[in-house]
Amino acid sequence: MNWSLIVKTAIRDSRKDRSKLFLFMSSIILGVAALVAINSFNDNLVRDIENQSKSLLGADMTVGGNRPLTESLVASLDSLSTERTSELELFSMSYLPSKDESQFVRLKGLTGNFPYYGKLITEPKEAARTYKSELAALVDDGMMLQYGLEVGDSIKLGEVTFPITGRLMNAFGSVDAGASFAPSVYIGGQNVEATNLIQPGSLVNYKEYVKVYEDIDLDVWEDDRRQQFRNEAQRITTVEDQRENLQEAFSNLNNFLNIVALISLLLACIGVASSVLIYVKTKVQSIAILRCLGMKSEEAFMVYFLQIISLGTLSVILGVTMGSIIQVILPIVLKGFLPYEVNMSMSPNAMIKGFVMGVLITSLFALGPLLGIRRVTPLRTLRVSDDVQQRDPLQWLIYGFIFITITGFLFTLTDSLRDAFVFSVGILTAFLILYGVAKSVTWAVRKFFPSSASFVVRQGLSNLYRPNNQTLTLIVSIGLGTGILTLLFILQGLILNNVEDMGAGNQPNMIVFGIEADQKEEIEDLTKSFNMPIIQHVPVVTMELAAWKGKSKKDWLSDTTRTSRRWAINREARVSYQEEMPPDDILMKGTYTGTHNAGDSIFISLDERYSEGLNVEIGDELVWNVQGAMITTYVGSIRKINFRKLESRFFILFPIGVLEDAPQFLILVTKSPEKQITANFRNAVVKKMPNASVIDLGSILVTLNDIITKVSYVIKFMAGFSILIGLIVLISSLFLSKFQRIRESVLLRTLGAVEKQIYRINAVEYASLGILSALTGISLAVLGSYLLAKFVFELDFSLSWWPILGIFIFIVALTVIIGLWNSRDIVKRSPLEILRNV
Amino acid sequence: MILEAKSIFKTYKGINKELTVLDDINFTVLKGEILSIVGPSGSGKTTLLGLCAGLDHPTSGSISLAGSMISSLSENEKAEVRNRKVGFIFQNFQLLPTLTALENVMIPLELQGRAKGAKDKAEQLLERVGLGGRSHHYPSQLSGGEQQRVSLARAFSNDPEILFADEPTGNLDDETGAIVEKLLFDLNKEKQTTLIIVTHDLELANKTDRIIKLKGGKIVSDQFIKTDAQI
Repeated sequence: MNWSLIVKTAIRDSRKDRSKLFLFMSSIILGVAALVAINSFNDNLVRDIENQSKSLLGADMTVGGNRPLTESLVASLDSLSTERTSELELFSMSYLPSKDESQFVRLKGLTGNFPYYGKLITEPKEAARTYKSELAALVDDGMMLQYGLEVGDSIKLGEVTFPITGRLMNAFGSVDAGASFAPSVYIGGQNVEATNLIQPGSLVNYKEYVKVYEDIDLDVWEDDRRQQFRNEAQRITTVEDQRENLQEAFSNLNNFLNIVALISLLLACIGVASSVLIYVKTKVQSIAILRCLGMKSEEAFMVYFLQIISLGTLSVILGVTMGSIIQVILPIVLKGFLPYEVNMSMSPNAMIKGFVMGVLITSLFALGPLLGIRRVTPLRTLRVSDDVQQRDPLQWLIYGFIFITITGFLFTLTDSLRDAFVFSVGILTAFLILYGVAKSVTWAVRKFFPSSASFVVRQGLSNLYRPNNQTLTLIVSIGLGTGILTLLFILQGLILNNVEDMGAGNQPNMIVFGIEADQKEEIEDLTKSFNMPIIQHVPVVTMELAAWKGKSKKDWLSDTTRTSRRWAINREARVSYQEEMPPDDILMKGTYTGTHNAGDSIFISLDERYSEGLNVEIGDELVWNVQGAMITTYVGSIRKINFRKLESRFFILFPIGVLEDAPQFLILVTKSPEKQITANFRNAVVKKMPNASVIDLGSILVTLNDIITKVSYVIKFMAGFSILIGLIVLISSLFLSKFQRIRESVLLRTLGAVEKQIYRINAVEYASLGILSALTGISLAVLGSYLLAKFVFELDFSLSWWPILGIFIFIVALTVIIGLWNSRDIVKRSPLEILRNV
Repeated sequence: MILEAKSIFKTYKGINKELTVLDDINFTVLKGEILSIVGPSGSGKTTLLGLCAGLDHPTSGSISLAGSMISSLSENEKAEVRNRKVGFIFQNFQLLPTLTALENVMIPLELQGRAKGAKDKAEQLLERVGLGGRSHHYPSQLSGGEQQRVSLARAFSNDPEILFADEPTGNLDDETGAIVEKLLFDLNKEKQTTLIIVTHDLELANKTDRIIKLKGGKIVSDQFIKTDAQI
């Protein structure tokens, strides 16, 4: 091969046509930029999680559960640790005397020198040091601001009023969104008992923060003892676990961002393939001349491959640079959504990955159309029609590589070869359907051609099947682009709807729990005095599963063949009893027994997931330890709980007539009409029943809504990125298609067609293409989102048709407008001028 | 002998039946001969030119061009023969639109790997066809006559043994056509090249040594006009 000539020709040939490849370049730049930005962000996040998990945990290890540690476990911990801090955490109402307000808080009572890593930051600083040794409380800064509290004010927790000695500026271990619902208040551990907040039914968590001897291998220790701690319902969290938890917490955000990266890249691929295809078509004559003058087919191919690959590589480099700049902007967009500040720096890993992936994808998707160059016959210099289009076996090889590359890329995102394969097959199917639609359209228009239609319509429609038509290219690129964007849009809506539904409509907004049995009437009267309805008022009895299907819990736990799940076995059961099955629940199996008569067997009702977790069926025996007393029951029915109702849901329901004398507390669910009444009711409950807690679901919903808004902002920002690339791809395909129609339109003009006729002919062609592509793309998106919602996200599927109609109109209008814009060039200039340039 | 066509058939598959475009064509061309192929539209002139120049392959029969059995060569081997031994002039000029006039003329030499000296030679040829001052213009900046003159310069740039011209003046007005025609014959005489012209123009055909008439894909006459080129 004559390399110097190839390089020279590649440079010379591209001189006048570089602008034709501008859109090709922009789709690569944006696609790679999205990929690099997202990967950099993920890398930075993972690195920060790595660095910060120790200081977020505050210790080498924590051990926690909803009961205090047994003596044997304490001994086990003592053999390991140099220091230990005990924490008692409970959710409770607090009262702010200076403001006459009350607030649900996460109360933490601490003893010991926690934190061992990182710092508890307070204002003033010394408050962090002194609060444990005196009667003092540190209150979350956000709560202080919300109520206008100052250091020196006081907070009443249960029966004790604490002076606030400091603002709490950070917290440990609270990476979950729940931290936002209940602000933290820290007090000395020795003061918790005096508050008298720990009552039956109180939500109490016990936690030990442990600093471990340096020479101890915590992983080995944990592996040996995890079982022992689990049997006592204690959970061990090491720095390693914390890191995994953090990564887990961000996995959804990661997954979503990865999907956006994939979509951006796919759109860029469509852009590459369609613009190169059309570029090659405009070059066929030059290739034929070069071939005629003696250039070998491989050399001609290499000329254009070099052009594309150099511009592609340049675009990839620009994309990598742009992506690195965007990733500095991402944390600003995500601010508030992250639990801590993520330090952004260039990620060489993401840049290399983006570069390699960008070059690979550009080469593969450009190679498909470029291979056609090898088949351009020099005879085209004599006759345009002598262009034999045969399928090139090498092209199939390229398609195979493309499939493998996309599957590989998906595998790096999903970590599952099966999922990656299924997704790739899905994308391939969508492509084949669009290909089929395009082929059917050209066939159908020719077969059922409306011969009696007007000249303009006939011309416009015949453009769909005439030689050099752009039906296939445009239907596949616009259809795939529209499909991917609509899919993203529908999924985004489905995810947001499913979350928002929780707070919608006439749902209850307040739950009072921890009410003692003898306060039943008092709380009901109080609720009624505020003109609020009693939506639910149910007893709760805590119990433990002691045995089932004839074997004790201990035996089951040591049975290696058991199929029941640990979470179901160890769960502290909060059971209720009622005559009727909750109206929103669905009976799946058996019969609900509402009343128990003395002497009969006791038939209980289980939630479907719980029964599956325990692997029990109708008729199986379950023995419960109700605070010392053993009660034998049988599974009478299995229900499906409606979890989207904001009421108390019980996995286990007993009939009435069994648990009435067991120690129990009550839960009352009501609905407050407005904020002021909520505040007044909350204050009244705290004053009359310090043991009871009021959870204002309204404020939780506000917080939830805040989070949803932030999430949707992120979703919209990233989806916007994809949409931008999609639009550029659409526009590039359409602009490049102009070169297909220019000679025909100029000839028509030369023959006397007036401006209006040219516009109308093009409008008919582009409108047909737009309608068909958008319809097919949207149908594919609806089908795809249904399958994804059902099998991947497990969401209820519903569609709102208006926005989809909007997308349809937008795509058709965009196609027609760009089509007409292309004709403008032909209409406004003299035919001769254009003919010379063609 | 520089070109020999033996029993050439060219057929195309139609929807219902085969279409025979060339039907048993036989002829030879001697070195230095100036030959024209004439005939009505659809008689197979351009197809025959394409086959003889190695742009296409016959359905059956053999073609020997400048010592190579071109009908049995691979595509790349044919390309090499075209580059070293053949020159082309087309009715619609077929210049590369993205290359300047000078670069268009240089291309055949560069394809031979003769980049050194290609520029000088191309400049000389452009000067020879009267376009010395337009060498850096793109085809779209040149008139039809000028484009055809660039095409002439390009055709002679690789010192071909044989030159194929497809309706070289077909797209030009009489005056411009005459200038191009004169240039073509003058250059041909200077370079001692064999010239095969496909044309409708009997006036042009009569200026050649020999006229082959085609009709319905068959040779209907093969007439020698002059024994020596006397233009």
